[in-house]
Amino acid sequence: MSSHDPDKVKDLYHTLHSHLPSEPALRVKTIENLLVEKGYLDQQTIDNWIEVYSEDIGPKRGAQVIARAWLDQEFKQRLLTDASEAIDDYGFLGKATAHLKALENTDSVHNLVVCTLCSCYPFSLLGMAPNWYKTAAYRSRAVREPRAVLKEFGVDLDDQVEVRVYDSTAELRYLVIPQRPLGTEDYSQQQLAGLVTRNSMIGTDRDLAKNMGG
Amino acid sequence: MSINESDKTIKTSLQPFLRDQDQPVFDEQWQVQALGMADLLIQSGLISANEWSQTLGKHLKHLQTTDADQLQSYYQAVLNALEELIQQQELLTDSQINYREQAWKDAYLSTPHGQPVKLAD
Repeated sequence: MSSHDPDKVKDLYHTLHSHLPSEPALRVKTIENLLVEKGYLDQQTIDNWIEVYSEDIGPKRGAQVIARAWLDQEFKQRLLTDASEAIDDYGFLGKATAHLKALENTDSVHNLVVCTLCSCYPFSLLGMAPNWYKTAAYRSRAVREPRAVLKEFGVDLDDQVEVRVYDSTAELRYLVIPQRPLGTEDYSQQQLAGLVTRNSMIGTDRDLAKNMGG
Repeated sequence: MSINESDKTIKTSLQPFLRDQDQPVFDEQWQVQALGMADLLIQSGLISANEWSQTLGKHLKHLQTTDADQLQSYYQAVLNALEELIQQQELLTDSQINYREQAWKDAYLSTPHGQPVKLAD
């Protein structure tokens, strides 16, 4: 090994200044710094957003809504008629930026949600979108070959089940109401919510009976 | 979609989808920061939801055809879309951002380990 290795010198330089953030991190920090300084955004609001979305909000909110819809027919009707209004009860949406539409799965219909353009997603209800939802592969294939995509998620549909694919937009997002598993008549709302997976509310999961213990 | 484009999509489709519910949605802090700023700018009406999804869609298309489906490239598209709209809405200019970025870089490089990094006055 040579005594003067340019790579080693570079490594040493980076080690000494290892606290220099990565390029995108520095860029984001700069933009945040300037937007706050100019009064377009409030630092505390940004910090709260980050805390809430990285830790607090998960698909649990959506699961609560589904469990309630399973138990309360009147609520389910409201949800299907105007999901944004029905969910207002919970105060989840805050300043809603998009309308929400609920789609009910039945024995003969399976709903699947995608955003072919970018990654529109009801994140105030389901938390941050999973990584696969943002991939080019999912965004293009969910529309073209939904059955094949569903199969990869472990959802094997009979031919007689119709698949309906919904393309989210900036103005309209979707929430799938999965079917309530049989044998859950005695379950509390909390227990029912525990059966609902995030993927089932996007449509890449269908049979929730597998989540019943015992 | 042209035939070439669909060929490309079919190739990327050979990758298995990740089904793990526990995978992290953010790799790094800047990713959640960038997305949060975009969401807050939309909420306050400084950029429109529709413009956001169009612009993000455009950047995703650009990045995800060359760099297959990495989380990093998704958030890079988020950052690029954010920058484009901030400049388009004249909230900040490119040179303002570059100038301040360089100031931060200098501050980081001249601050000894363990000391808080501050911008020079």
